[in-house]
Formats: sequence, C-alpha cells, structure tokens
Amino acid sequence: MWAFFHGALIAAFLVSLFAHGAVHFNTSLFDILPPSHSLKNAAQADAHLSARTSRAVTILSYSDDFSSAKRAAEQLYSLYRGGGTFAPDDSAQIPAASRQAFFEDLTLFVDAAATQELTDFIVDHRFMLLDEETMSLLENDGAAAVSQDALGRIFGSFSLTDFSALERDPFDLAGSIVLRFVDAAGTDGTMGIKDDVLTAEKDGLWYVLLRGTVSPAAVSLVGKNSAVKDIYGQCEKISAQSLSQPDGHEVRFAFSGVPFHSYESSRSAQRQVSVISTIGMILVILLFLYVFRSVVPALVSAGVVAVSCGMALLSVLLAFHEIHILTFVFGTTLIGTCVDYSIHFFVHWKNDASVSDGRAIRKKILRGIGISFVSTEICFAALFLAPFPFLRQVSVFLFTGLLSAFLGVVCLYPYLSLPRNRHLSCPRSKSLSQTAAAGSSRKAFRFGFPIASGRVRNAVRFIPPVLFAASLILIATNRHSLKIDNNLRDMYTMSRHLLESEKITAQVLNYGSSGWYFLVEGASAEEVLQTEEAFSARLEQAKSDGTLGRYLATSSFIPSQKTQARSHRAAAALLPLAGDQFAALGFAQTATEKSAFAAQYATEFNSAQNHYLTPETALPTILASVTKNLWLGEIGGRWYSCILPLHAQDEAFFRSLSASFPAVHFVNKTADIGSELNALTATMLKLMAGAFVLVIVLLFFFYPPKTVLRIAAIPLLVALATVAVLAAAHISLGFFSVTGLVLTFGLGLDYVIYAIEGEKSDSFLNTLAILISFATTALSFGALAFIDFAPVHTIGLTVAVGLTTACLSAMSVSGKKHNAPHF
Amino acid sequence: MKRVILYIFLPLCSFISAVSATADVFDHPLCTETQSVFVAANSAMSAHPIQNGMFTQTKHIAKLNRNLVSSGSYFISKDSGIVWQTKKPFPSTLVVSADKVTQIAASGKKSVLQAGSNATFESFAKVIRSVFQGGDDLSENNFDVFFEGDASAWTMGLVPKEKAVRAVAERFVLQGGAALDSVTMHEKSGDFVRYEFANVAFPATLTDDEKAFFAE
Repeated sequence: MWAFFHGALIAAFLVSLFAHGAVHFNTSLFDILPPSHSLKNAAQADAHLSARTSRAVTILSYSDDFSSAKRAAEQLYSLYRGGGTFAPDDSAQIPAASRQAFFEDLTLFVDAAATQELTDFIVDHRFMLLDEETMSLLENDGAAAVSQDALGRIFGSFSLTDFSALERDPFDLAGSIVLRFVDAAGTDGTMGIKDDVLTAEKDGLWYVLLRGTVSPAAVSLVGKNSAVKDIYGQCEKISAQSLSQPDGHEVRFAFSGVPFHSYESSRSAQRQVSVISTIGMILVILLFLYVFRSVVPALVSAGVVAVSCGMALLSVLLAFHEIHILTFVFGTTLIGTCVDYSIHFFVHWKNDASVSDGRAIRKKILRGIGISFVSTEICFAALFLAPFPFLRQVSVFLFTGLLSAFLGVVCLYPYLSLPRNRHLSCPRSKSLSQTAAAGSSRKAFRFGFPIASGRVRNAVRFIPPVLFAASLILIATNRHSLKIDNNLRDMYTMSRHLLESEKITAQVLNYGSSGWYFLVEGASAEEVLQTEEAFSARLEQAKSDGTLGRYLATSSFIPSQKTQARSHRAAAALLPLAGDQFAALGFAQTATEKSAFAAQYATEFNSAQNHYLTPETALPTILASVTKNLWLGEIGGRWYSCILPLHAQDEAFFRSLSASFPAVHFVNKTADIGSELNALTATMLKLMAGAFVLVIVLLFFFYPPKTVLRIAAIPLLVALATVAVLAAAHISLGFFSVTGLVLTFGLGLDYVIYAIEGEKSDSFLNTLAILISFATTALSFGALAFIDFAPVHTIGLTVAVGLTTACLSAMSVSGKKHNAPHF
Repeated sequence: MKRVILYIFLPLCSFISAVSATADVFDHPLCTETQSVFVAANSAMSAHPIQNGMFTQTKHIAKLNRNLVSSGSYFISKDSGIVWQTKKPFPSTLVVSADKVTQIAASGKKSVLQAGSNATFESFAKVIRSVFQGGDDLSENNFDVFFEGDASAWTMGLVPKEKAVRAVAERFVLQGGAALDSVTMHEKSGDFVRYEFANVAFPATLTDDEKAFFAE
C-alpha cells in the first residue's frame, strides 16, 4: 500500500512534469492573498496587470552632491546594462551576461532622440488627435479663432512648442496636442533632466532615478538568480566606494517596488522557517532520544517526516504546477503531526510488554490513530473547499503529507523489530506501566512528564470548567477585539529600511498613487477606448471639483476611432483658411502660392482620413512608456485597460463613480481583499462547523453517544479558549486565525480520541503518547507563533493555544474514568 | 512622461537669440582684463528688482529658413516672474512664474503648464532669470562666460553648464552698455530668437494689472 501510494504519486508527478514542463516556485508575497471578488469578471486582466507591475522597480541613488549620486547610478546601470568599468561585488560569482539578464529593461539616461520621435509622431497624426476644446471650436464656426490663436502662439514670445513643422502644420495643431499630452501625462512630479538623467533636488540632496523591470527569472527570491539580492549587494559596494572617491560624498540608495518587498518578507520568512524548522526538528529528535533511549525511533520518524514532506511537495506540484514558498511554512507543521503516529507506535514498541511484534502494536493503535487520521484529514480537506488557491495548496500539502506519514506508520513500522530492552526512558527503572501502576509519581517525573498523583489527576478534571470560565472572562473583558476583520495592512510589516526607502521614493517622485485604479473592460479595443473617454469625462469633472488631482488613461493619448474620426471631420473646417494662414506665416506671398500651399495641406488632410491609431500601433518611445502599464490589450477574448487616478482621496466617491459604468471596475486591492477575506472567514467558520459535524457523525460509528458528546465538547472549548486568547492579544478573528482553528479542530480531536481510546487499553501509554505528541506538535506549530509574518504568526498562535487547550482537556477526559494512576 | 515635460521645456527656451556679429565673442573667454567690466555689467543688470519696456522679437526657424518678427511689451519682476505681451502682428501673452507657464491666446484661451518643482524647469527658469536679470547666478558656476568690450558697449557670451538646458539653449549672446540692449538665444537646431529692447524703465513696484498676471 505504502509503495503503491508513493510510487503512484512519484510516477504521476513525473508524467505531469513531462506533460506540463517545469514547475514553478512562487515567491510573490501578493500571491498568497485571495483574488478580489469584485474582479471576478476581469480577474485575468487584473492578474495580467499585476504581473506587469509586480516586477517594476524604482531605485534612487542620492547624495548631497549631484555628481556622486549620478556616478553611483551610472555604476549600477553599467552593471546591469554593460559598458561600465565599475568592478561588481562578485561574491556570488555571477557572470556579467547573467547579471545583465536580471532586467527586462532598465532606464537611466534620457534619450534626446525620443523627443523628436514624439514630435514627428504628433505632427504626422495631428488631424486625428485634436483635443476636445479645439474640436468644439472647429465644429462651431470657430476655425478663425483656432487660426488666430495659432498665429498668436507662433509669433508669441515664448515658444512652448517646436515650430519646425509649420510648413506642414500652419495652425500649430501639433502644439496643442503636445500640451494636452503633457497635461495628461502629468507634471506634478519633482523629477527633471539634468546631465541626461532624471533627477530631483530635495532638502539639499540630489536624487537620480533608475527605473526598470526585473526579468521573470530574476524575481526568484533565493540563490544567485535573485536580482534584488544582487542589487542590494552592488549598491552596498557602490555606497562604500563612494566614500573612498576623491570628493568623498556619501551615496545611498532608496528602493521601491514589489520585488523588494517580496524579497525581504520571503527572505525573512525563509530564514525564520529554516531556523525554526531546524530547532523544532532537533528538539523533537532530542525528545525522542531522551524518551526512547534509542536512535531508531528518531531516525525512523525523521525518515517518515522527510518522505511525507517530499510527497506533500510533489502532490502540490502535481495539482498546481507551482508551490508558494510560504506553503512550506505550513509544511513545518507536518513535522509535529506526522510524528504523532510514530510516537503512538514507538511508545508501545519500547514499553508495551503485552505486544510481541510490530503487527501487534499496529493492531493495538490502529483504531485510535485511524480515527484521528480520518478526523484530521477531514479538517485538512475542509481547507481545500476555501476558494483561495494558496489555502488549497496548504490543504493538499498537509493532506498528502499526513496520508504518507500514516501509511508509513501503518505499513512499514510493523516490520521493525522490537528492542531488547523495552523500557521507556530509564533503563534501570521498571517499565513505565509498572511504575505508573505502582503510583510512583516521583519516578514517573524522572521521565520528564507530569505523571501526576491522584490529587493532581482530580485537579485535572477541573481544567475544562476553569478554561471555560477563564475564556468567558477574557472574551467579556476584550469584547471590543472580538470581531471578524481582515486588514491587509496588518498582515505585512515593512522592514525599517524598506519603509524609509518607500517614504523617500514617494516624496521624491510624488506620483500621488492612491493604490486604487479602474479596470475598463470591453468587447473590442474600440469599445474600451470609448468607455474610457466617457468615464474620463466624469474624471475631468472630478478634477475641476478638486476631488481628483489627475489621472492616466490610454485614451488621453490614443483616442477611440470614433473620436479620431470626429477630430478629422472637425479639422476640415481649417481647410478654407489654410491659404491665408500660410500667407500670414510668410510662406505664400501670391495667390498662386497660397493655393499651392492650401492644396498641399488638403492633400495631407485627406490622406490622413481613416488612418486610425490604436494602442497597438507602434508608438513613440515616450508614449509607449506611458501606455505600457495602462493598456492591457486582449486577454481571454475581452479587451482591457487601466485608468490610474492620482492624488485622489475620496475612495467612496470613485467607487460610486465607477458603479454607474458597468464596464468600469473600481479596484482597491487592499480594501477589496480585506472584504474578500472577511467573507472567506465566514465561509471558513461554516466549513469548520461542517467538518465538525462530519467528524461527530463519524465518531457515532465508533463510540456511544455519551462519549461522542464528551469528545464534541472539547473542540467547542478549544474554539472558545482560542478566541478568548486572540481577543486578549487584540487580534481580530480573521481568515488566518480561523484557518488555524480549523487545523486545531483536526489536531485537537486527535488528543481526545487517543484519550478516549486510552480508556480501553493501556491508558498510561496513551497519555504519555498524547503528551509527547503534544510536545512535538507544539514545538512545530507553536514555533510558527515566533515568525514575524503576521498570517503565519496568527496561525501559529491560534494552533498553539488551541492544542494546549485540547491537550489539557484530553487529559481531563482520560482522567475521568481511570483508576489507574497514569497521571 | 518626464521626457514629455522636457520636450515642452526645452523648446520653451527659444525666446532669445542673436544673429551674426556676435560669433566672435566666443573666442574671448572671460579673463582678468575683462572680469571687472563683466562684473559691472552684471551688477547693472541686477540692480533693479523690476524692469519693463518694449521688445522686438526675431524668431528664426532654420529648417524653414524663415524669420518671424513680432513686437510688444514686457516686464520682469525678480520676485514674481516674466510677462511677455506680444502685440503685433498677432496678440498673445505669456507668463512665466516660478511654478508654471501660462500662454494666453487672443481669444482668451489659456494653456497652462504646471511645472511644479520640475528640475528641468527650474534649471531653465534659473538660466532665463540670470540672462535677463544678471546677479549671482550669472556666474562661472552656471555658465561658461565669454566677454569682450568695455562699459559703454559690451558683448557677453554664455554657455549654460547644465546639459538639459544646453540641449536647446545652446548659447546666449547679450549685448549692452549702460543697460541691456539685446539678448539672443541660439538653439542646437540652428534656430535662434533675438530680443531687442527699447524704452527700458525700472519702476519700483508692479502695477495691479501686472500683479494680476501672477495671481491667477
């Protein structure tokens, strides 16, 4: 059975690997969050947008000396784009070519040719790109005003635009369009060009801007392929070297972008998980060695845990073709749970004189671990029902891991030979059963467990009512914290240096991003652009009202074909004035010349007809850089774009504004995901209730009703105590704490079931097994409470509290009927 | 998008120019002999917080080989900014303040560029103020300075050190004596804009109408 299961899983994984290609290790922090419910219709577009923006990085090098800041930026740029002489920090021994592949694009220098490219583009397409005001004027007999205004600008003192194309564009239509583009693109940033780089001066410091997109392969958070890790290392070296320059100005760097946050949070989680897992494993092994006085249980259990973790990994990769790095965090819990079955086996293996071989042990423990296995698996399976990919991964991971461990214990352990010396912990003592039966609590304590006297045993019976009362008091005194609330902002705490970086970047760039955006959807590109234009009209009103600073939209630069056609029709009103306009500019002196110029103008006008621009048209570099994160294009047969409101405060206003446009989705991921998590929390509570009912029904097949009721009371007490502790810790009842509760239900039930089973057999060994199981599980689960990452911390705390309650309650259950002094 | 802003601000510099006769000044870097005359000329230019007068503008578009000539009045306030009111052949007004550029057409239509604290704009504005008003910023810190002549008739050549400004306003030529007579800005493209000043006066304060340009 064991071989079949493991062999089949490995074979299925290999087939899947062959069929689907490489698997993916997901390290994006945001991918553990559920998709926003409001985006269900446009989830793909949102994912597409996230995929683009989640790899964008901004780096500012800054110093009180511009040259030093610029030199540092150039050194960093040259490392990733080549051409420099700066010797990198090559402690990671990354080849230059590999380092240059870290970025999909990286921009430092401003390309002067790009402005000419934009000018030429606008002049070429000027008839299709007129602004609303000019179109309205031309449509309402205002052609003369347009003509006069153009002449005023051309002969005016300051020239805002380039007039080198006057021979083609005597009405300076391109000039108006450029001004509109500048307005649409926004000018409220502090960055400007100095010595060919984008720079800003603020509070005596010069900031030089590097922008880029990390390539997908380099988003990896670990190893040599981590762009962020390399960037940090290189920047550190550049900063250190800046002080050794002759001018000796200190240079520092500020970083902004999702890759930095993902790297830092995941690196921290990885480090903590690795330390905590190692410590947990060592403690469990030490515990095994101490209790069993043999390396066999420790080695065999470690082997089973390793195999179960491996199988768990393969099952997730098989089911999802990727695994999130944080799934491993939850995987550490397998160390504790999987070991439980081993403990129950080895307690009998080492000490039970009534069994003569492994098969007899299996027979003895199978019912207990079988029922607990099924009940735990039900709870793990319940997680799979949550509409949340990350939690499904965790569910599959835990479910398969536990199954593997269970099969290992049931199928392989019986073949282990029994030890010669079958006494727990202390070779010189009698068997623990005998010791306990003799009521020698003092000797029992030598094993390190509170194997208590009858007095203590009696006291244990009061644990449930005491816990119940204490929980009620805690809940009553902290009732203000007793609420379902999921605030994403509470789930991630930036490191101090990254927070400082983000503050600097926000102040210097002053983009005014609110974190919200509008996703526009349509059946075609044209429909999306038309919707954008209609919606932009409302945003313009908001701008006038002061509700909105400005916004970025593709249609501000590339209007819909409908608008372009209108623009072209409106421009026709200028044709009769063209001759006089050329004359006013001095191009045409005679009537013949006027006619010739006017005819040339008309020819160009006519040839522009029906030559529509689309966002898919090859755009000038400057325009493309603006629209690349706005225009999403065709995704799954629908078309999408994004409108970014900037310097906007009143979220409710914009949410309601979009509500009147069916094809415009307001997206505030933080709020939306928080609401989504609230809904999921309620769902999880229902799942927990369902799993609870299912397990109770299952137990009716094994135990009499009275016993089932005793078992059923424990999870309810566990839930109450856990909620009370969370309330006292001012942690709202959120999705992750409820997830912890679901896990606790499964694991906590194990103890109760073992305790009930203990009533029928060697109760002392059962109690001992429960205590060791609790110790090992607490070491692994409870350790999660020490991880900084809030969701994991919450789950760890919830499970630790829940299991402690379950264990204490289990002891009270087992103590109720037994006369044997096993406590 | 910042490049687009630059795109606006770089050609924006094309409001001054010089024609011939001034090419030679760039053969005469500022030296010990001319230093004192340069300092005196600079001081004279910066002596007044406000100046106004009439101007004649010749805008040369090299690509079209065409000169566009216009005239009007102007005033410069050290504290508020510069206003150019073109009257002939086609009226328009342009207001350059510390944080924005406003173009007002004859029809009343306004085009406003909010510059904010854009570094390029700041560099540009700083150069323009220096060129028209003199002062501490009109120094070798910000320009390569060339100079010839004496106190009664001098020619000053200025090459901005800031590359972003130089991309359009490649060099300036100022001519004057007791006061500034003309300013010419040469662009990289070969275009130039020349301003010749007349009836220059130095009032103590701005009129309410003049203040109104900056209040909006």
